[in-house]
Amino acid sequence: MKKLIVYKDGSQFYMDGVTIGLHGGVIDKEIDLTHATDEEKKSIEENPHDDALIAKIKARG
Amino acid sequence: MIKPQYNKYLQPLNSPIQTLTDVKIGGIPAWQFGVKQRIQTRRVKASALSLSNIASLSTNGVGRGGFTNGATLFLSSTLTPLAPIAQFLNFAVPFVAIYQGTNLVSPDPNFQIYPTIGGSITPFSYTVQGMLDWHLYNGTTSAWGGAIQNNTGGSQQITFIVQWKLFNVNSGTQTRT
Repeated sequence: MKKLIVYKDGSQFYMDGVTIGLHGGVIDKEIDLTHATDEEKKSIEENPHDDALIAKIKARG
Repeated sequence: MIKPQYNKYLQPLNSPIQTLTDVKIGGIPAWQFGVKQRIQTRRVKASALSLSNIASLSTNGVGRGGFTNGATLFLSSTLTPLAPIAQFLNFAVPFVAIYQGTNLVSPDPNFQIYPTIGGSITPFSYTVQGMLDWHLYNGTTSAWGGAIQNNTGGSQQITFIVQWKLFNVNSGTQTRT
C-alpha cells in the first residue's frame, strides 16, 4: 500500500511496502496513494490538506 | 556369441543407458522423468535433496521523509504470507539500506547512512539501530525493525529501502508493510 502519513508537527512520511514514522509524533492524517498518479502524489505531498484531490484519488479505489 | 552393437554415442545398445532413453513414462523419456514431472505428495523422505530455483525477490519497499535535528524515526518492514499459505512460516532475509536524501530512482552510495557510511556522510552524524525484530515477528511474519536519530545539526531527508529474498517453496504470495 502506498500511503502518506502527515503528523501534527507537519512532518510527512511516504511509504510503499515499508513503515516509517516519527517517534513520539502525533499523526494528523493518513492518505492512501495507491491509486494516485505521480503528479497527484507530488501535489498531495506539497499540500496534504487538499481534501478534494484526496477524495478524487480515494474514489478510484 | 552375439557381436556387440553400439549407437552413435558408442553406447552399447543393450546397456541400461540405452534402455532408459527408449522407455517412456507418460510420454516422458524415463531419464527425464525426475526433471519434467510434477509430483504431489504429503510427505517426502530422502537422504539427500537438491533444490534449485527456490528463492524469490520481492520488489523494493520504499519509505522517505524528513526529520529535524534530535528527532528519531522508527522504521520497519514486514513480510506476511497470504492465504492459502497464511499459517505457514516463511523464511526470508531482508536487505536494508538508509540514505540521506530522497532520490528514489538511484540512491547515491556516497550518501548511504546504514548499514555502511558513504563518503559524503560524516561518521556518527546519525545514530542508527536495526535488526530482525522479535516484537514484530508473530510466528509467520518476517520482520526487520530499526530506528534512526538525526544528529547532523539540521533537518534532513532520508530514504529507507528494503528488499526481501525469500524461499518460495510453496508458490504462495506475500505482502509487505
